[in-house]
Amino acid sequence: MKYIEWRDEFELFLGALEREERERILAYYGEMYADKRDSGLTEEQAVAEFGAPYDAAKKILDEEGAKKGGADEGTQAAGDDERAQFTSSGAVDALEINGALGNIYVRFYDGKDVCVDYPTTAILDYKVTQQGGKVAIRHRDVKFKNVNLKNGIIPDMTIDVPKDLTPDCTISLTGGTLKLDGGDYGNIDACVEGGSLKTGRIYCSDAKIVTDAGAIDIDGAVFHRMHAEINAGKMTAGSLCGSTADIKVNAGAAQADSVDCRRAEICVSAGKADITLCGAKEDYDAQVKRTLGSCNLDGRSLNCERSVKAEVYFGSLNINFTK
Amino acid sequence: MDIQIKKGVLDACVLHALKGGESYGYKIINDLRGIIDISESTLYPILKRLEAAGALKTYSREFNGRLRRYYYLTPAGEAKLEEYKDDFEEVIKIYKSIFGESK
Repeated sequence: MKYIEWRDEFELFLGALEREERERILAYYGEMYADKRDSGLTEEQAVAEFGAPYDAAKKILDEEGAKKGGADEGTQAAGDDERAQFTSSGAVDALEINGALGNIYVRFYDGKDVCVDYPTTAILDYKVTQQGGKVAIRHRDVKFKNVNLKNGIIPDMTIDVPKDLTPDCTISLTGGTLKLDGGDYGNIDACVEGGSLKTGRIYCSDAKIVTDAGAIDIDGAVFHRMHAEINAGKMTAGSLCGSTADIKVNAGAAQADSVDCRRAEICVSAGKADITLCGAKEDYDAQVKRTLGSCNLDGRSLNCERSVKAEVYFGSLNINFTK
Repeated sequence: MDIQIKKGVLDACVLHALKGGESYGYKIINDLRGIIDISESTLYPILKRLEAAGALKTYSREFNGRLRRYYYLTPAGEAKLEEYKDDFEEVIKIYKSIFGESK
């Protein structure tokens, strides 16, 4: 392994530390490396002596963690939890990882290549705030109560949330790619200012999905209420099934292949929406308000069980039916 | 080794390595070879801990076109080393009375 590779990986594992401390550690290792080379070791030998990046980082982080826990006997457990981002044998009540710059590299794995090792357990609050660099999080066999993910400046963020119960999920994405596994959620509140959010088939109570730019791709969703707002960018959805779906396109584009709701409200201020509703046209009461844009639907009221409300100011709305 | 005992031993070793004058990371590790094997990752927290405790001070100096951090003992560090010496003598006494005969 080249020193620069070793260093990069080593730095990833120091993500939990303050930037200043991280730089100090890297300077220390840089000096060690230079001294090893000056003493006649090859790059390979010098790097080999450092040991695996994870092991080297863990020693330093364990020391940090021990210090936190050691400050007050009463908070020993909390101290352990604080560094549980690296190893933990118990349940974790709250895990918050904050990174200013640099990288947070967290993997929850039950397989090989363990850098964060969680047993099957519950995490009640989970929050990752990252301003730059890379975030890679993998979860296996972990249940969440709250997931709060936020990234800053165009990091590459890959998050797999398992198909376990995750009551509330808040996502704020400004860049990169966020992949949300399908599964059960309480409420989902996702705001995509950039980058792309992809989800599997999600089950939830309320879903609020906003994209100011960037792309949202929903494989499928079953919900009580859904509010999707496309201010720019694009949303594509497979099947949307629930009580109420409220899709608002201010600019950009929305496409939903199969909307199966009692009440669908679609508002196009500009941009374009292409929505396919389940059932036949006759199954729906339709309320249509059109200003300058185009809409292929006419209003009708026959006291149907289902209703669709369409408002088009500019842009175009195209509503199709599966039957 | 018990973590607390180990910490004390390691601290004492590093203080000892600096007793002869200022030194730097790589040299400290090499000087201690033969007494105790410590890795870079072990040494870093010790140096940080000793510095925070006021036992040593550091400064950076150019060497071979790069910066190298040097460590030197403070009077408090020297006193700490003496303290360890007394502590260890006591430990040796206890050791002898517990294990002495069978050894």
